[in-house]
Amino acid sequence: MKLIPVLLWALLYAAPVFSQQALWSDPRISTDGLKWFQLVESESEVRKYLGQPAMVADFGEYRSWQYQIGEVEHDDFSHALVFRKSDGKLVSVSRTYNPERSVDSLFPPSGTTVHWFRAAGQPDFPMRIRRLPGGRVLMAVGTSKPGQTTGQLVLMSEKELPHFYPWLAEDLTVGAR
Amino acid sequence: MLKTRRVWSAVSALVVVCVPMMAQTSANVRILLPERTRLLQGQQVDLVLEVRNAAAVSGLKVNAGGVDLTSKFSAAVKTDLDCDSSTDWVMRANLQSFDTPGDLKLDVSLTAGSTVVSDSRTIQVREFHPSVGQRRNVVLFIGDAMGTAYRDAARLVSRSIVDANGKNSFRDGFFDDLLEMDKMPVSGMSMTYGTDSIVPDSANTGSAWATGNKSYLNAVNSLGDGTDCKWRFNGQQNAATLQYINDNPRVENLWQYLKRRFNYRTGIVTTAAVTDATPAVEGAYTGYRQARLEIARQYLENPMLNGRPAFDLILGGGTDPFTAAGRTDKRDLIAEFQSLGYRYVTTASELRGVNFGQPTIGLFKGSPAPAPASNGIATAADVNMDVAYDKLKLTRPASEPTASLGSFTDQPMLDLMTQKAIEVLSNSFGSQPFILMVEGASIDKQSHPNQAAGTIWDTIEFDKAIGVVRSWADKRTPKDTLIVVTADHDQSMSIIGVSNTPDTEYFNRGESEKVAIKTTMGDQDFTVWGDSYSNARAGLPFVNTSTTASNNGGAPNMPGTFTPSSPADTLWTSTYSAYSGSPAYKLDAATGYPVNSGADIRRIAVGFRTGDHTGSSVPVTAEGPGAFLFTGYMDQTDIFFKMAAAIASDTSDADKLVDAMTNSTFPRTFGKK
Repeated sequence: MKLIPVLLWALLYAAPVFSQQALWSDPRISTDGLKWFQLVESESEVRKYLGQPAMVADFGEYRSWQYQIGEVEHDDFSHALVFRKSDGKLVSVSRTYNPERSVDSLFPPSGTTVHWFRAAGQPDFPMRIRRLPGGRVLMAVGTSKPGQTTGQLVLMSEKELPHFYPWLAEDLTVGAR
Repeated sequence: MLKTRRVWSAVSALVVVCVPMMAQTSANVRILLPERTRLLQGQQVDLVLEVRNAAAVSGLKVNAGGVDLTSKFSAAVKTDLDCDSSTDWVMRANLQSFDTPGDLKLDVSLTAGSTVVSDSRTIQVREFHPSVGQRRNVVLFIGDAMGTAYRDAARLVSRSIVDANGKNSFRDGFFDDLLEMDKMPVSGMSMTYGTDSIVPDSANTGSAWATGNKSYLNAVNSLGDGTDCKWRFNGQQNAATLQYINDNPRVENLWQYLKRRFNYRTGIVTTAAVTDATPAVEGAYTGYRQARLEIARQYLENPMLNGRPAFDLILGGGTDPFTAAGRTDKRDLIAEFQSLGYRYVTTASELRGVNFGQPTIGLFKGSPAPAPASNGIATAADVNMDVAYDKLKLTRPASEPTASLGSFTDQPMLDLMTQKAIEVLSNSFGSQPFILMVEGASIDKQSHPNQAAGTIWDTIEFDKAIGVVRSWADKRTPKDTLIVVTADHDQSMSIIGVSNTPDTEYFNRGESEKVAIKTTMGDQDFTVWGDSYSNARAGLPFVNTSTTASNNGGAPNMPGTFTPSSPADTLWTSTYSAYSGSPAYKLDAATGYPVNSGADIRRIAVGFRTGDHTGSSVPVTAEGPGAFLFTGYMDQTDIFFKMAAAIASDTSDADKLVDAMTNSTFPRTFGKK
């Protein structure tokens, strides 16, 4: 009976050990499902989670926040987060891994589909896709099956896909019919 | 009255708010050339027009200095610009050029929907017309990140040599012998700002001196465009966005310009992977520097040269993107180069055997098992050559990683690579002139992780390569080779003194302490090693116990002033020891490099403020015909036009003046022989 308070105390005590940045830099699997950005977060919420970005750039209707967290080639960014300027909400998160890593645990076979980008004179290019609640799409760029590593994990609002990956938006629409 | 003012204030505020919104939604056309575009006569550039917010486009008219260019443009292609919901169009006229020197007005007009819209640019077209019989070689040395402190460090280490009799070649503040680059007669400074950042990278700075025009971070001889939103700012560079990476307007570089128009031989030598940004700007065109597979392909099939190879000589690291295993298209580019008559070498021993002008590709390091990256546009690894310090088998300080050359134990030093490059490029049957870029790449790559020994010895290696070309050029009659030495950008190292850290601490990997500073303003974690008094790291707090205001002391809680949190804490009075005297190193006669250990060594102490580039200007030095052009403060794009001017102009009078300045009774710095 005494074990539960001890465990609770241990959990509470250990919590500050995990920094906000460590908690938010990668998706986590929990019993409730996949925990990461909901794509409704504001800039101030993201600053609270990941800290101050290394670079900020405006482009068209969007603003980009880029981070160098953890191991990353010095010319690259580990995270690129895009906000819509009109409402200040997050619309996509790109997580770059260098070296590449397996993200199989985020893509259970039952909820994952594979889509191919095809262009003349170019090898076909795959992406594993998992639709998440809240109109979000999680993408393992350049992978078509478990066991393959990726250098890019992208979380994007499905509404934004036509601007960034029109072929994928069309694929998903057809698939949904 | 007050009310009227308030009304006008409200109206003004409304106008201020609405005008940008109206500007965003009204139809417009934009010529994708910078405001200050400069080109050489005949230099190729993609002319690209972007039309925004137009249901349809018609009636295009393009006039360049009285010449109608309309027919050169493709039909308008519907394109999503800025990743928004508007209807946009793009029209292109690829690889255009202008032959008449002077300021040329480019006027564009068209009907966008029902509105006539227009744009214009004034392009400065500079004369390039070498006189008959004048053939000049150019060797451009790029010390990557070699700001003034890096040159200073190389000088203080390699020219403070104590001989067998105890005599130091650096005495009383004077050197017996300066660096090779110090001895060049003309000096200037180059401002390195990019279009989107005052702190640039190697790609956009390289594009500046290679094409004469500025661009954005990561751009290789390409200008920004409206489809960059699909990959550039959201970090999504992959095979599915490659079409948007490679659609940016291209500007021809000097290497292809001289080969295409004047049959120059061209070369690159680097200690990085040969597809890294600095070598890439001499031979490729892409919006993103890490599109390595495309860069390698363009070395073989160059778009400015109608699909011919960009170079007669390529020496460096990074085999992977040239191999079938490393490429998504499974092409064996090395075999394709060989089928075009290129010789292929992979070791220093093989390179020593190269002694005539056959086109040559030498790739001295790669992955054991090359593979494409999952993004489909690069290889899984970018394999640079090992750094000089490790090739020399010197022991690394405790805070720097120990060397592992793997199976690549026979990599050439940069001076050998440079020697063979000029032998190959100058020894052609047609006696064509050549242009060569030589890069000391790991001055930068070792500075990023604050590895002082790695970066300083690479700068010394780089200087030896400069010596090879100076010696070769000096023997030529007439003097036909311009040598320019500069950096693409600076990094944050500074010379902070001389340290007396003994070898027992400097190399001791068994003694270190992890430090974690956690504050609500941010956390810092780092490891303090025994060599920290010689190599102060970025993030390591500068401890200042001074009580005088002029030393930033005296005032509590100012930067640099720390109070021990408990009486038991040891308080450092400094992060280095300012040694009374000069640095002192010993020379390894077998290699010609200073060694970094020994009982009587006094090392320089350096500090790093960050692990990244800075926006400081970088030095330029020059020698040979036209060198006088490189004096004073200049923009980095000027280097392109100054190299071109040295090739195409009669510089003899000014060259005689420079010669008189250095070889007469005018004052001369000690150590400049």
